[in-house]
Amino acid sequence: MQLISTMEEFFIQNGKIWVVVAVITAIFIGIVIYLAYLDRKLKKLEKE
Amino acid sequence: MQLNWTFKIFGAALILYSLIWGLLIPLKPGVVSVEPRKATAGQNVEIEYEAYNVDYLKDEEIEVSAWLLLDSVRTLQATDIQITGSQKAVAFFQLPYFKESDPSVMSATLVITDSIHGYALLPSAIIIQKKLQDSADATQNPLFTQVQIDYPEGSTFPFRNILKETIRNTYYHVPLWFSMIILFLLSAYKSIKYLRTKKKSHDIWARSYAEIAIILGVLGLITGAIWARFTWGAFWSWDVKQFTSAVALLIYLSYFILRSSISDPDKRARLTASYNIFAFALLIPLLFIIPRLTDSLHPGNGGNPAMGGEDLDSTMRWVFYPAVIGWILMGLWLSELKARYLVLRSKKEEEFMSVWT
Repeated sequence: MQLISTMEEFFIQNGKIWVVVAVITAIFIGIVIYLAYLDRKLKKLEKE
Repeated sequence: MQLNWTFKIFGAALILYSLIWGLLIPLKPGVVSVEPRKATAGQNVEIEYEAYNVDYLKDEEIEVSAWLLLDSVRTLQATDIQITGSQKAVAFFQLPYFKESDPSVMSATLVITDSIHGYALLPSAIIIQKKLQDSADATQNPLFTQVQIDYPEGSTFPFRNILKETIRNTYYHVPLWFSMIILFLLSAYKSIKYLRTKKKSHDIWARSYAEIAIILGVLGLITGAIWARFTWGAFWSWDVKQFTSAVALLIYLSYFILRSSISDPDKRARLTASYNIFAFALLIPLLFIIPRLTDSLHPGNGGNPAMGGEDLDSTMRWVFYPAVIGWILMGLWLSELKARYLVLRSKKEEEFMSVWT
């Protein structure tokens, strides 16, 4: 039932819910990257 | 408690996993509406129903069956089913006449099942009025057979008529509270350690855990209110669980107000540490004991089944438990960031003061 031959065909499956998943994933990963950045910045300050 | 990088990334990955699978795994089929809702015993009824999460027109070879369950013995199979739409069908039943001993009305559960999507049921789908067979009536030969249901392929989440797709909120609303409780526990633990050792860093960690825990608790209340608006009918219904959770958060907010009201740092740390321990001691009866003693709409309280039973079946557990662990780890990471920042800041302040004094 699945057409995964192109990225387009993947994302428009199942009423395009995968687009929603991609958006939420992007938001979440963005936040996690920001947290990692804060973590490393603190580590740098602690080293002084 | 400082976490290893692997735990931090693992926590984030678990939450991401619960986010994706919590949204994508489909629900089981359900019955959304039934027409008519009333009938008389002995009647031939045409029950028109609308189902959820089925597509009857998908495959010509689909086999649809339906039953009406009056009691454990009288399980009545539909004599015919006509599909009238991708989610609609009409099921024909020959209702039996009642016995003398039957009550004046009986409610019947509708069970529908098809070979592709699996089964669904609607309790009290139809109310049947009592009627005994008399000599003038034609003999009815209702078809009593054992109910045989199909199971869907692959994982599915349970279908609940009032919840529908919102059952997925279980993976997003509940883990916040689990994480909050662990963080408040750690906060109380750090407060105890402070009172025993008087080391400043314990006080800082206690405060950091409490801060992130409050944020998670507030998010839990807000997400719960959003969920409640569309399932219980209102954002806020003074439900005992909603209420006691709000009280618990207010008690912890007072911890911060108390902190800001005392200028001497040692006195502040000592006083708020004792307050924190009391606040945690109150958290347990507020969140777990009092809601169970009285009526509540909230799952797990007031006579409702708790986690487990039908509100959390085995497919849900595969997404729910990783989400809980993920949010606990994330909460620990956030608290650690706050604590490390405060420790750095207090060191800078000490350096600053030592220059000037």
